[in-house]
Amino acid sequence: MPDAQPSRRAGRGRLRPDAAIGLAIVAFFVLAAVAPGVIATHDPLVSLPNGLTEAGTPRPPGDAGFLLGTDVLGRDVFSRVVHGAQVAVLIAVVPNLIALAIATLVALAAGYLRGAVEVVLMRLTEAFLVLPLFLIAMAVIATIGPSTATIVLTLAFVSWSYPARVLHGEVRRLGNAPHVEAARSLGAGSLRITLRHILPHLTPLLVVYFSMNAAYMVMLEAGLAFLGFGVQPPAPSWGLMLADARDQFFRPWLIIVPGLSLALLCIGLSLLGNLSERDTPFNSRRVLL
Amino acid sequence: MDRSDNWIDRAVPGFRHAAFSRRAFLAGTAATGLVGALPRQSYAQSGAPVDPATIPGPAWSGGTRGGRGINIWLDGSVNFDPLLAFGRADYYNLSNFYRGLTFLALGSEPQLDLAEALTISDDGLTYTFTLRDGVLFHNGRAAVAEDFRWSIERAVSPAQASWVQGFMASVAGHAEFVAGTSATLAGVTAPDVRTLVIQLSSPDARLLSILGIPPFYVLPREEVEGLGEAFRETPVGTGPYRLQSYDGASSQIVASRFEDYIYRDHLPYLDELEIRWNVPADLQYLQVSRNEADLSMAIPSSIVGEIKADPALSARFSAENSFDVEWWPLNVLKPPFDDVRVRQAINLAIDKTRLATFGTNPTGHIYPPSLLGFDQTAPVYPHDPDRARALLAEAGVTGLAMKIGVLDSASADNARMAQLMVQDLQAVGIAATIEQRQETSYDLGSALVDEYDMWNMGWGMGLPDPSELVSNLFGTGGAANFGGYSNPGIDAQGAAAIGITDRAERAAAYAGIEAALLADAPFLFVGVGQLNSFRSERLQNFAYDPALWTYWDRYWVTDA
Repeated sequence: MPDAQPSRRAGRGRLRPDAAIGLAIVAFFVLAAVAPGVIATHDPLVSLPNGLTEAGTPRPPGDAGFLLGTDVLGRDVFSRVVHGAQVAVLIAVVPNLIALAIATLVALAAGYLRGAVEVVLMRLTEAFLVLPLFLIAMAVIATIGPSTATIVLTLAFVSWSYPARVLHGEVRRLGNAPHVEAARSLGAGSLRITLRHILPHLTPLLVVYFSMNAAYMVMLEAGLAFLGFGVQPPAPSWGLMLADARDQFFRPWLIIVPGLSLALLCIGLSLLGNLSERDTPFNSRRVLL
Repeated sequence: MDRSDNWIDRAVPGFRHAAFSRRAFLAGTAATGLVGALPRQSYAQSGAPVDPATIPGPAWSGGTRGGRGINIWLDGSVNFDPLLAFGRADYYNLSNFYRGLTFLALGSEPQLDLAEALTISDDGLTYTFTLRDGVLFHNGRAAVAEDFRWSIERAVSPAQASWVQGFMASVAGHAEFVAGTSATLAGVTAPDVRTLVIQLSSPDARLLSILGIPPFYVLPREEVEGLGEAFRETPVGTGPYRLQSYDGASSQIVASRFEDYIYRDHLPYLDELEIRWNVPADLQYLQVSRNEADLSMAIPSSIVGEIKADPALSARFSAENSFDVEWWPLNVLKPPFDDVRVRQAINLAIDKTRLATFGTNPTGHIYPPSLLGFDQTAPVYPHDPDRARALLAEAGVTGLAMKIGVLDSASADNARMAQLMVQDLQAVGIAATIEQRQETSYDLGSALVDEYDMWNMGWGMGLPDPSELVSNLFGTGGAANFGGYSNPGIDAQGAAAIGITDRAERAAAYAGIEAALLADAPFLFVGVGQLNSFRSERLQNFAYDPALWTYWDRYWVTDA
């Protein structure tokens, strides 16, 4: 059955179609986040002189040259969505990296050191797993006050536990792997084994979790913003835009545009997560070499 | 419920029953001091026809009696105890079930209702009410002066600790009664069944307005005490509609015409009144636009543009000024907001006309337009960024950054208004940031000054009198004066104005207070909340006043 098992050579360096679509979507939003001024047509924070109709209502898509219409304050929806990508991408990346860094540290410490350290760290991780994280995020932000730094740290704080648990299992498995046994027999110390022979093997898993967690982060921030706990107005956050549109009965574009952006980015991030170990540029074998 | 436990049954056995015996009645009244009390039949049959000219409230004429009217509300729950009705669906329907000595007509003007005559002593301290003959409760019992006395006493009693307790502070013996050193409110007495006397310790021109708000309407003591907590969903009063069914699960009440209503020969028009609550605002619009309900007072501002664009719908719509005062206090104790020029600059910087889209009538006043003391010519702040910049420069303020708290962020309009303010403030060189909070300003109270330079506040007036705003919003130590503003001159003027009995003189005094407040600018003056009222095609004779909102006794439907 030669066709059933594609050769390693054939698959190396080539993206699966779904992952390619995901990458394209994510790349578009990253571009919007990095250079919103290039794409946006108006200042996203300013109520434009012709932003409302004579009756004082928002303009529908295409009216008066506004591609995706205007909102209740007469601001350009397209420009707000483009600038909103900044918040989304920031939230997808920064708290995600922090959360995965915490998860990796916990997993390495618990999985390699074992004993009491492992018991304490993993019970702590499990305790976090059973907590209602969204409510905790709301409580933390309500207590400290909403700011970008608070939101980033809070999202990291509430989302490290699940990857920590999975990574811990992988660390334990790798701890008994032949190459680790070999390194140990050659006299390598714990720190060296952990950093050189276990950590690199976690990379594919971390890449997958990064993309999965990114979608979760974006949704979490949008949910918090919708409830008033996320980025504060007038910032063009998609969650805030959805919150502002919740009473706009006759203006579906105000809900559809940010909602669709949110959905697209999350779908893109999820598809990106379909990168296999073989597909990822951070191939563990390459690192080992 | 064993109704024989009711006080009136104990005091006057057989009082409410057709099998009432003269002997039992006399024995009961002799034992309780209710000498002269009359049985139901006596009142119902002897009550002289009421002259329609003496019926308080908005005018009516024509129309056909009959049919059912349906009014719908956003509230999640209702409570028809007049002292505990804090929502809109319950508070603004109380006058359908209960009535009192006075009634608030258009312009929130108090007119005699269940009292047919009033004598005020020359010193303004003694009010003697003569009750109408033939007033009955929904349970069939005659309403006598003792009921009015007891109802007023209940409203201010320490046991109830209600929000209106302080309203009767000028009644003799109020302080002792509230403190618990007196068992009764000495200043309110019922010398006979048709006479109620209220003795004041100091003149109080607000008294008739106070008696016209629902918490002071007359209640049947035996029902209140007998029903206990069930009274909250079983309104029994003397009003035009009588409870027929209460269905909490379906959020619906159906009331029927009270056949023994004091004005039964004329009002109400409807045979049945249905009250539905828990109806989302957008659904309210759909139901009323399709004539499936008759009145909504909660059409979202986002839909108003569409309604106004359609002439057929527009004819059924009106934006009504409420008694919900909207203002944004400034942190007057903190520099640079302790400088009146900075506060004035902020008022000049904001273009209030832009706020009108969000359910607000941006009058720039603290008084609602129909309130006593409202002066159309008062010097409110126009939108004048140049003058704002000049005042800031004069105050030596540059690069000012301020933090705006948007409280009660469940309402999207608060955040929208704040965002427009941020744009306007930026235009005069003030960098403002917004922080949304789920809590209301009343949840945070005095902690607001620790966190924000300005924040949104609203106050729904319970008493249609400017004294309520003076004492609560900007009087020193006022219940809602969280910004810490204090002006001894205004405090003194406010205290003096309460005792002014001449209405015009009183209006001038309160106008002067508002002018002084405007000059001091402790707030960003905004205006009043607007109620977007939308009616079915069949509902006729709609009238509105911000004190009671609706007058369902004189609305009629075309297909009755």
